[in-house]
Amino acid sequence: MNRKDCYDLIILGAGPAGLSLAAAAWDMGVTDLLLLERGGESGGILNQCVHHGFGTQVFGEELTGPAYAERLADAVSARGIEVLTHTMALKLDAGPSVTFLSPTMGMRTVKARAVVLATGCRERTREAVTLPGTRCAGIYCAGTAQYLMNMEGVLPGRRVVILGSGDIGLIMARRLTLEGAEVLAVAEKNSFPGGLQRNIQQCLTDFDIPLLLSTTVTDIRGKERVEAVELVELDGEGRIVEESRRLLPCDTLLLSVGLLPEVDIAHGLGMEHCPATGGPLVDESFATTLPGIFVCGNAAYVHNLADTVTLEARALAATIARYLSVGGGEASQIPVRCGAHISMAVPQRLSPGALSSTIVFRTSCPVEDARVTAVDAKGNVLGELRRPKLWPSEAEELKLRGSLQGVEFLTIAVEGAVL
Amino acid sequence: MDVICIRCPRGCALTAVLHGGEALVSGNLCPLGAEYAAGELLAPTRLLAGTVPLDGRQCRLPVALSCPVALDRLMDIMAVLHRTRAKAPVALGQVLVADICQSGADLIATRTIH
Repeated sequence: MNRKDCYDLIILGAGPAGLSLAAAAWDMGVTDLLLLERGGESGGILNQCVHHGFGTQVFGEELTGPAYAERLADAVSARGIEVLTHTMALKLDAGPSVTFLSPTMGMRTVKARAVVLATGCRERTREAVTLPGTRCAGIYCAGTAQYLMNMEGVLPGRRVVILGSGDIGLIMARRLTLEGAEVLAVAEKNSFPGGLQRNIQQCLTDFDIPLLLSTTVTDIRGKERVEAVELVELDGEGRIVEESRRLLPCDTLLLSVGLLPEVDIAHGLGMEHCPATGGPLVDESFATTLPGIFVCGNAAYVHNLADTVTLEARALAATIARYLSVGGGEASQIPVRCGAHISMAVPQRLSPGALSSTIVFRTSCPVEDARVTAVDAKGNVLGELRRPKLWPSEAEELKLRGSLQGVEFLTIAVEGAVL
Repeated sequence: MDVICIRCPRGCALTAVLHGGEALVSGNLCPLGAEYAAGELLAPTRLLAGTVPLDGRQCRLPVALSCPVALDRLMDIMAVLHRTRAKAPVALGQVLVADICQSGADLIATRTIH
């Protein structure tokens, strides 16, 4: 690796987003690139996702996470792109430039014409959901339990309660059951599950694991190790139903209470954030509000599928190739607003010249016979989608049609039978 | 029976009923759904994945079944998987246990270890 002071493209993170982007960017002629990975190997979180469900859209076959990662990594190495592993990006500056620490290159600050944050997401923790109780052993985020089980071969507990019905929690309910643990219950505070319907089926229903909706954990008991958790039911207003309080003896509590994009490295640079996604505010090119800094994959918003990340990364590669040759386009000044029953919409801003853009959205509650629309300030419908049922856990795509010239803002809203 | 299709991320809500020994499926948006719901009604099958130790290495080897097996065979297969060890180098797709538990599926490596 030659020691240059400036690259066309620096990608932070060699998980599904970074690997997919690097290979696609190379094919678009962006060969002066640096791919930095904090871990000891590329692949990111895919390495611990040993289950199936990857690759159906990108490769037309059902692969495990490690096999999907290997396909992506092979594509990167086939192009002669080096992944700098064990390399930690310490600082990002506007300009942009990146300061990183590498075993082979030492500490270096290099400029880039474009930087892509492909840094993934992090799990929300016990602290993020302000869960009371003792600070005993046996409390894990679901992804940590997945790491222990799949990468270290350590069963994190024998009698397990899972709080939150996010996909990693569901996947771990099945995984721990297969490994001989007893998963007593998955408690979900909402009246609908947080994970994909298919995971409810193949991870819970298949193994008769109870899914307790409108139920949460209000206390963790235990001195050295978790001994029990207190479960309560919630009424339609989210209030505790006092008479429902009960202790469930267990030795382990897993938390699967949501994921948040990880873009801490941009902290302090004035990058605008979106409260709905927890990630940076982006336009249709996945450009952030800082010039030359883009975001890709779960660092932009939390995706349902790694396949979607790969497809978005390939589109971003084309955008970056264009950006490097002709510069950025016009400012993205059309806000995309979340209307009725919409919890998030990406991108959050569109440029007037954007044609046939796609808005990724989630609903805030299940909706049947749903009609989703993108409506401008004058009431013109610029996009419409109908679905028999929409689940909050499942991101959907709304295609826009026509010109955005003269559009002040867009509102994404859903109507139908709200459950 | 009512099932959620697991063949693709769309997750169609399917209904399958037995009619003269055959499964009649509704709610599917593609043929995979009909196939899945019929299978669920007549003989449900699943894929399985896990990791096994690698001799002389700190890391573990991710493994999986080469094709779906009967749902009620998963625990038998896990018992064999728990006794399985692998030795580097291993190639992606390499068979570690052929026809595991006479299920018709092979236990294969799902990554390469050099």
